[in-house]
Amino acid sequence: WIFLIFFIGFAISTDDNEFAEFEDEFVGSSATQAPEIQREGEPPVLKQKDDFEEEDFGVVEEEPEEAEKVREADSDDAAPAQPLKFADVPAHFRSNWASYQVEGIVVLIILIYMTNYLIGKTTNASIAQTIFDMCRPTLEEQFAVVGDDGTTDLDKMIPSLKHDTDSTFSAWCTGRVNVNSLFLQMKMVKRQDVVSRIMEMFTPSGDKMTIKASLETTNDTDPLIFAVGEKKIASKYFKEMLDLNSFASERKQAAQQFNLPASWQVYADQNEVVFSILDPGVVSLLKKHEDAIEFIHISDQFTGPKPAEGESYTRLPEAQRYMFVSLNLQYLGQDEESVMEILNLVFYLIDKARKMKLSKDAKVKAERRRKEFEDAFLKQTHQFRQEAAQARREEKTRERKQKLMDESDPERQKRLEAKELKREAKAKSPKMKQLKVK
Amino acid sequence: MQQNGDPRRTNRIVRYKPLDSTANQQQAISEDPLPEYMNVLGMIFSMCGLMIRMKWCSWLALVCSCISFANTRTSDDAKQIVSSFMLSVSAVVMSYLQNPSPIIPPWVTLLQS
Repeated sequence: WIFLIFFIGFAISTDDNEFAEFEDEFVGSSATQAPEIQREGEPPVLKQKDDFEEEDFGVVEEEPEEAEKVREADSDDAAPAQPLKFADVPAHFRSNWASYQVEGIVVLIILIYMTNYLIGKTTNASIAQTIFDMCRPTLEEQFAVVGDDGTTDLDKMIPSLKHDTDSTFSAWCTGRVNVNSLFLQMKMVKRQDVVSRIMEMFTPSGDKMTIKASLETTNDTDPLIFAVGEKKIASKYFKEMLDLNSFASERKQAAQQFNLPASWQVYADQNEVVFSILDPGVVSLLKKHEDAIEFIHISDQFTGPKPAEGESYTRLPEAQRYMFVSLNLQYLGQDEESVMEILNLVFYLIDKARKMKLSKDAKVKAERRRKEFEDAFLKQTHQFRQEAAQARREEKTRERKQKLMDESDPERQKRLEAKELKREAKAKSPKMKQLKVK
Repeated sequence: MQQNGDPRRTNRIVRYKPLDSTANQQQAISEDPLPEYMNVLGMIFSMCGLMIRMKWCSWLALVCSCISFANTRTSDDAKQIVSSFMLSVSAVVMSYLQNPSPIIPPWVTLLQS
């Protein structure tokens, strides 16, 4: 209650002060007639409103004059009025679309890219599907499972093409005599990517289909390494593949004898292999589909591509019996009949490679060469291994010597030195074996 | 066993192993490293767009994400491509929210000088 009373008392005293100021001025100003600012077009009503206020409150009219006086007083004292500086607020983008030229161009590029993506993706898919539909009847005749994705159950499996990317498609076929599995892969031009489409115009690579068959290895199958194909592609593979490079060589006379297409080359580890594989039926089919077939490679020592320059294998990778066929889709996809013929040729070569019998000495020669290659490889890697062991030994002696130098305690240093001398003496002493005579 | 000239053998099926083993994954990447490069480039450009507020970096990040999207493999998971798109779009939006004025086209500065 005291606080309330005190508060009210305080409020009343400030009220009085507030009006005190006006009372003095009120007495002064009423004598002089306040200049009336008559604005043009101002309705007379305003005047009537002023009289009304004067009679009742007698205060309101003076106030605007007072405010003007106060403002005039302030401006006379401060420096001349500064020109108003407008902050540099960027205009909102909705107001000037036209100036967003760079953004418009980038958005246009993205739109073009995405429409080309949709068109390219559907083109690739339709080409791949039509070729797969041509291959499917033959594949279904030959394999128990076609288009395996590795997860769905075998009985619910529907032969279908797997989309690896928007330009590569594949189908895994398995369940056939002489073959563990056959991986059919289509690598198309990346039509869905504008940059690749433009690059394709300069360096045309074309659509390719590769067949990679893992052949069955039994102890009565004879060793063979054979490759035939168009010159440019065949020589590229010859340089890349480790088995071709190590065992095979070009067989020019054999190629001429079979009057293969002029632009083709034959590689084999022995002439006998060429004569047993290239029978007349095969040669006629190769000539008929010379454009569609690019390269055929059959090998019992397939270890993949050679290691890159400078690198080398420390251990020879496991060799497997393998067949690789590269086809050009541009010519392959023209009619179903040629597709069937080429696929049947592939299966015919698989069975032929399995049943092929070399003469005795040809077989012995092949086995010997493989043995020589393995020994040479082990010798080479032995050298590597020896160098590595030598390096490790030197590293250890350097570490021991370093430890000896860093040792502060003289006694320990002496002991280490003695140990070191003993080791060196032992290394230098001739190696003698004690034989116990019974 | 069907022996009447039918080569199919249901007992010799070798199932397909999808690209889960790292060796196959490595091989797929070594065959076509483009999506990986574009993804990293996109991330760098969107970081520049967000941190240094360079508008053209944000736009380039968006283009890189589109290229990476066009070359993705179905075996890659979608998270990577979604995150690169979100990052580049946010870089573009942030750089325009902060300063909506357009990029000054290079041809304008050339004409003026």
